Amino acid sequence: MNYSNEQKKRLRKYNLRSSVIHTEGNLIENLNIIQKIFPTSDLVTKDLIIRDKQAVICYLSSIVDEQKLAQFINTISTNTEEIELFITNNTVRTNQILEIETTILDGKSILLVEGDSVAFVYSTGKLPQRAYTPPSIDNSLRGSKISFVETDQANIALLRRFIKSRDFQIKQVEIGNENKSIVSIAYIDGLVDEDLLSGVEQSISKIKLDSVINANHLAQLIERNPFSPFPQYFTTERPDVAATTLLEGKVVLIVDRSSEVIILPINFAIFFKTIDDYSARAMVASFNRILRVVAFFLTIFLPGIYIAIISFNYEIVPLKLLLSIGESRAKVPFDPLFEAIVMEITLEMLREAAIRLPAPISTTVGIVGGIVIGQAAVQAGIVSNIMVIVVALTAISSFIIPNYEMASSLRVIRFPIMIMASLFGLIGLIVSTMILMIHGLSLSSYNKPYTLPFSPINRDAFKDTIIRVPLKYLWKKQNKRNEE
Amino acid sequence: MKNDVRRDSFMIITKSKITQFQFILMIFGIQVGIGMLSLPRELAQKGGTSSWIAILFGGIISTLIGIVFVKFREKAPNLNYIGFFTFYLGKIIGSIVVLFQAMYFLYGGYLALVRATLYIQSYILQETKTYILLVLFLFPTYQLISGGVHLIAKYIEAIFPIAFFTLFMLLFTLKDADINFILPIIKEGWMPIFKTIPLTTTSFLGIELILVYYPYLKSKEKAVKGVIIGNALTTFTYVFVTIICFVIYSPYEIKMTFEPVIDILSVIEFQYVERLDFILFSLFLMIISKTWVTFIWAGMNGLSELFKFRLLPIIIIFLFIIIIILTFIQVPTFTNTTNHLHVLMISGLYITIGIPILLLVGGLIKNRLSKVKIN
Amino acid sequence: MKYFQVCLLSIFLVIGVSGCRGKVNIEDVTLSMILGIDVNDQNKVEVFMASPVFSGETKEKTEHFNVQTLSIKESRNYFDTRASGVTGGGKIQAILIGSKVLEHKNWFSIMDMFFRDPKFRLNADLIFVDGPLADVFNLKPKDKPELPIYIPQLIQTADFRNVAFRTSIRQFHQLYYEKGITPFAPELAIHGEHLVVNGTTLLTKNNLYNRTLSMNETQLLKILKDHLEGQLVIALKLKKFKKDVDDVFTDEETSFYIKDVKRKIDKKYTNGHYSFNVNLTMPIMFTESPIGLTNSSEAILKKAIEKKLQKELNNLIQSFQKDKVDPVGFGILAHSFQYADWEKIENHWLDTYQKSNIKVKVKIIVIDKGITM
Repeated sequence: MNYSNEQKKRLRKYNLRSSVIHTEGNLIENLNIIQKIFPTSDLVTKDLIIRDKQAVICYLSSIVDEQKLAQFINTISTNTEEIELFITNNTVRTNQILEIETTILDGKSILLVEGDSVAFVYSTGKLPQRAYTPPSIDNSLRGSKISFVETDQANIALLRRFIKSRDFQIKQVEIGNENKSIVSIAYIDGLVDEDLLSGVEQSISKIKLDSVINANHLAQLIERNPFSPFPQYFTTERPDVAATTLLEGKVVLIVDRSSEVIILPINFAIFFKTIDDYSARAMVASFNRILRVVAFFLTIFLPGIYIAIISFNYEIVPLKLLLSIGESRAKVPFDPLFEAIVMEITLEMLREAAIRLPAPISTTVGIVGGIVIGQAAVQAGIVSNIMVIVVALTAISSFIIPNYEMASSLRVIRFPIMIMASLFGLIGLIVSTMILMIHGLSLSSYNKPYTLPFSPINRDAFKDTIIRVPLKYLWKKQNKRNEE
Repeated sequence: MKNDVRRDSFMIITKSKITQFQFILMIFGIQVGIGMLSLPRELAQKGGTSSWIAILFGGIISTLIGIVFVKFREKAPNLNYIGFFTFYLGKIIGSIVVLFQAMYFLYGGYLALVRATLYIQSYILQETKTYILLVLFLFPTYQLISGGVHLIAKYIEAIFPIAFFTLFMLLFTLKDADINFILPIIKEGWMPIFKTIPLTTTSFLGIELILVYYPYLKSKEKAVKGVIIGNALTTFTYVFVTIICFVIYSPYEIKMTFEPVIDILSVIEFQYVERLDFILFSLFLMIISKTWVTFIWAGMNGLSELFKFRLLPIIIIFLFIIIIILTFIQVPTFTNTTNHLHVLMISGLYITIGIPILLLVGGLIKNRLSKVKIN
Repeated sequence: MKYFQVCLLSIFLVIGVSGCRGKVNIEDVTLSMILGIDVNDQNKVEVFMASPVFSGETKEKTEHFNVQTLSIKESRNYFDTRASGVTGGGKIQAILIGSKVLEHKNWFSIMDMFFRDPKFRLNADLIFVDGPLADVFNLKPKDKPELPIYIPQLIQTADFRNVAFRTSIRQFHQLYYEKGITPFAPELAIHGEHLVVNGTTLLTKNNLYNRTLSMNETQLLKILKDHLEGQLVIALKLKKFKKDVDDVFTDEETSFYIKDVKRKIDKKYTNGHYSFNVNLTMPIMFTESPIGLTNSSEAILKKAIEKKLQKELNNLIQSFQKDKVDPVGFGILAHSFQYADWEKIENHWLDTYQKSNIKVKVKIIVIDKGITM
């Protein structure tokens, strides 16, 4: 059998000369091999007697289902003819050492019999698994309240629950050299683009790391523009979102050990849609979408606009507002940029702190930070109260954006825009908008443009971006296709 | 034979993804640029308040020229720029023509950029140095040029709502309008209108760029329709802006303001924002950027195909350094940029009219030559 | 190669980041909100300025300055030597012109800066003041807000009720250059401790003072120009209904809202003479009436109002023609239909205007008689 270089390296690491277990079934030899590979103390080797032959069963005690194992041992310890049949029916045979290694790591147990040149693998795995819980960050009011867990089989089971169709297929790819983890590429055959599938597979196969633990790590490794401020992948922990995107012809990557799945390809608009939008009626859903678009602009531009207006172009502000701004700014000794950055950084620190603290303390910190510090700062004359309002509005707008990745990116983009606004006023804002926009236009996710509904302009996509037309008209194509 | 194949493979464009809508907006976007701001005043100075009719004529002429260009291009739809001219005019003359055109494009792009900088210095940021503003604008320009024509097309498409918004805001100035300023429609007869037609035709310059980006179109068979719609959009915009300026300013006043379009925007006031002209002018910069970026790209594209080098980032930065040095050699002022623009307009007119004639002659000669060869 | 690129990029960054020198924060700006131009007793041009103070510690909320200079931009430099902030004109609310200025022919030349500087607010009101400006700037009425807010508010509310004809600088520029109209602007006067909108000042073709229209005449001018803002209430004395000649309370007043003015002007040109027939149709709502109004008696009142209004309007226009002023803008109408003929007389429009035949016809439609009869 041809072994790859990594596999040969591994065999050498274990000081093994051959790649198969002892051909004559010498039990001591085989046991030695296994103990060399697993010098850990949770490897358990139990001696048995099976039909008068010496046998050993090896397994890792931490990941084995004790009950199943006991049953198995009981069954094969009885001294009857049917054991042969039983063993043949219920076990897999192998003589490859590397396969034995993988199966023991999966929690299966290996039965070595004196005189037999193959080992028997019995499935007793019980890797730790979590029960299904409601989603923690992708909250929704009216969608289903279940989220993915860390086991990929359980996640695929959830998806199969949501999509009961023969066309829903999975391709499995192994990544990681030392620490293999399985990435399952889920797609709906017939809806998905062939080029997309092969493109995704290619990008995944290019990863040459030792181990990949998290779906977010995987997503960042296959991202094309890691320096871009805009995220080019979309992760979710909700099966209904994943199922909906599958039905749109997208591909879902399920990474074992990660409770989030990756959806590809994506465009800019997906970061502003939530599953609740489709549960509400057209008018309410459209209002919420418009609110998010406004929040998007406020998050990026509001502090910049404020700084630009009061430093360079005060003529834009109507007179009465200008007088009150002037009054409140007169007490502040700092430049507007400095004031803004201080307030924004304070708010960011409060936000980060609130994540780490347990729940009751975080609410207190929020109140203390928000109200007390803000008010005290205004009274001490360090910041003006209009600045506090601006910063608070910006923060609230950034929390409206449904996707955490995108919201964090937008929060970071704010700062260069503030700096440009304080250097060049409105022109600085315009130039930074141009740079951002051009950058966004140049991104593409697997040959589909990133800024899809806006450029190139696509009339159908507009039905679901800034407003949401009633579902009857939105899914007209599906109806039509099924009527034919 | 082998040489031909290699030369051909260099010259055929394979990636053609500019959609019809983007094509229309590109024609519209390149033509509507800095000229729009002072157009009403120039028209009034040359032909009085009835000269807005000349815009319609200019639009028709520009549409016809555009259709002629498209028809010529259809003969060799996938060849790149220099390949097209070589096909028609032979290697030597084709190269010379492309060289001149590339120079013209770069000159035009430089002027548009510098003029926009002047506008900013005059209206918004009075104390900024020219080269700082240039560096500022060269960042997005660099991004667009290294992104290629497809990125430029997407950018133009994305900017279109701003143009629409600016035009819409002009409607708010109409509360001070007096239609008697523009009546009677033909004030001094048709002669002044005819005399203004050269001026209006030159404000439709930008149509010659169709020759450059035609091979990148996705649906080339709809190109003629695209040209008509694009020019119609430009004509409509110019007429709209001109008529609004003419009804707001008295005919004695309009010859006095340099940029009437910005001036009328400065009196719009809402309850929550005044001096809308600052905001709208800043947004308008995005629209002007379409013009200079496309011209500079076309120039660099021509040069890179002519001298067969790839457009590396370092070359683009080198071009930018040249631009900045030029502004030190001759400090741009409104007067000398106006003079340069005049020269540009005239050369643009020669190019736009001269190229179809050249191509026609070249095509005839080629036909004759190939017939001789067969015989 | 890469090192060179990084170098170049950083040079660009440094240039870009060095920013803009023209940055002034709002609290450091002294906003000139009112600018005043006057000629003092020594025949020198004086420029006044009033601006608010952005500090919680001062007692006065506004500051006033005045300097003697002929250039407004130079005056700004002088103001900078006195004001604690950087003077800026972007928020100017009103420009006051003293009455002595209007005695000089070339006074408009001082306004050149307003139209040349892009940062200047062209929506500022132009106001003529009856009397010396120094008195206005020394006024400190106790029951009114500060001067920079008081004056614009006064003009704005007066304009809303159509008792003043608010003219912005931009509109004044048009009135000055357009050959078919003569300039006008609202007028303020000082009565005791307060400012009062006196009416509208009309200027001749040479920008010299001609006369002041009273409040009633201003309202009539607004009707003639079809330029109603907000609400217009006209009160008329109708002699027909005068009851008791000796009493102070003669019951002859009627007043009504004019909801809208539909103005149709028939223009005719024969042999070098223009004739304009102005047809005004106005729907009205009665607010005061000397007689009880029923369906039959309203016709009598309506006819009386029509007659009175027509007479007053015609008198006003004839007085305009006599004084050779044309605030209504008949010249604009003249050059909108016979352009070739206009071109011959465009510099002497007012002579032709004096000889032209302008008649006003009023038609009133009674929409509402109020709640009681």
